[in-house]
Amino acid sequence: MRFLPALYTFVVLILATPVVAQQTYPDHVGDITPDPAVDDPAFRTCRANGIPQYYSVESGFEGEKPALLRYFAHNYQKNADWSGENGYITVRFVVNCNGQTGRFRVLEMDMDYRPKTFPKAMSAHLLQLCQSLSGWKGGQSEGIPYDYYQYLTFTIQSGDIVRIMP
Amino acid sequence: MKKLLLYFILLTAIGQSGAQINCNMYKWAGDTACYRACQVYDFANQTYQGSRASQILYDSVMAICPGFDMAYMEKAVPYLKRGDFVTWRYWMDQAVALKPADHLGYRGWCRYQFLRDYKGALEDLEALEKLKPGNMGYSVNGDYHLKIAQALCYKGLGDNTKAIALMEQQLSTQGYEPGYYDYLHLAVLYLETGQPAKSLPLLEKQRRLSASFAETHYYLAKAWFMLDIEPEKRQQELQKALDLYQVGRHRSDPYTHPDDRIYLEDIRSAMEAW
Repeated sequence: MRFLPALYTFVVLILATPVVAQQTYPDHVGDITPDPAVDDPAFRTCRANGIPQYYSVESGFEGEKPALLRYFAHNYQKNADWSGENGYITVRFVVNCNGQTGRFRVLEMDMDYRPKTFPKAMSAHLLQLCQSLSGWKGGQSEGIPYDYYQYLTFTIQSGDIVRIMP
Repeated sequence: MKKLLLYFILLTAIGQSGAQINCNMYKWAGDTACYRACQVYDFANQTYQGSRASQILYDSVMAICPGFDMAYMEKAVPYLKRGDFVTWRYWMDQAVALKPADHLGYRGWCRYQFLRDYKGALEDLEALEKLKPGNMGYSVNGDYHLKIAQALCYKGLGDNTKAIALMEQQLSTQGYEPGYYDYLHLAVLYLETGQPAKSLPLLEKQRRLSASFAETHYYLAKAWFMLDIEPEKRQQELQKALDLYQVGRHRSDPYTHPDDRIYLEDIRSAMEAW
């Protein structure tokens, strides 16, 4: 019963609020809804829902960031047509508790953080490289295995990858 | 009503950190709408960051009191942490527009921390400096005075001379308490500009300040290697770096990799080469 005052406060606050929910939200910002049209049907998460972010669990990449950087340095093949391209391409995905990846989504923006569309072949190339990348560690927290959301943001200057975050 | 109960359950699940505000300042000013908004904001800060309930509550705050800058900032945070930088900027920019002196430093720091957007970060930090000369404040994680962050941005842009000058200036500012990693970054700048002798006293200060992470020992060994001195002690320092690294004692940040952090393969390569 101790929660009743808090519940009352909350209800009062909400009811007193001139409304709000003009915008709809997923359960959590950044949630990726599985899409049979684009996602690998073989990919499975270890839990049905409640996937945390990479920074909330023990996560990482075999060989650490240097290994990841080498992979993209060796495999990214710039097309001459992309020489005028600048901005950021973010590939967001799920790493399941076994270190397998799926549910890839691409976000693109220019250097001023405005939405931008990169050449389709360029985004597709980076996406394919991310999909082929193996070495992610399954998530863990206090000995319990977890899936997690991870992203990679590629800074593109003149069509080259000049930086990968985080 | 079912939805309300569901939100309540979500809200009580896990706490999160939003900046505390004294809501009474609105009450005392007779601004009942913003006082009410502030109470909703406090409530929102107890919710799981990025949850639907949390975002809706911040929307409520904005609807009740459109000038409540902290709601825009807090609503933006989960987009930043989850890689949606377009949406982060949309909300963050509104917080900056409402109170530039309060939010330029945070936005600038995040542009550096999450994207290494050196140029953009410098624009924000230099605009902040004009608003708050001599009192820029610290990065949100508390690791850096923003003047040091400015220096790291200049380094990122390749202007090591300016980076060194800014760090030296900050470290010599009267009353300034050096940040936990200031000496390390300046020492690395001297190493990278071929001035290992200048890095030695800084690394010694860093060691006195914090001997417990791998980078201090690694860069000390590097300085000795560049100076071609202390061959045995180099290996001892690298072994210390390795031992510390293997128990997780290295530069780290929950969200991104800090500048000048080292990796296991750096230490192992150095043990072979130095």
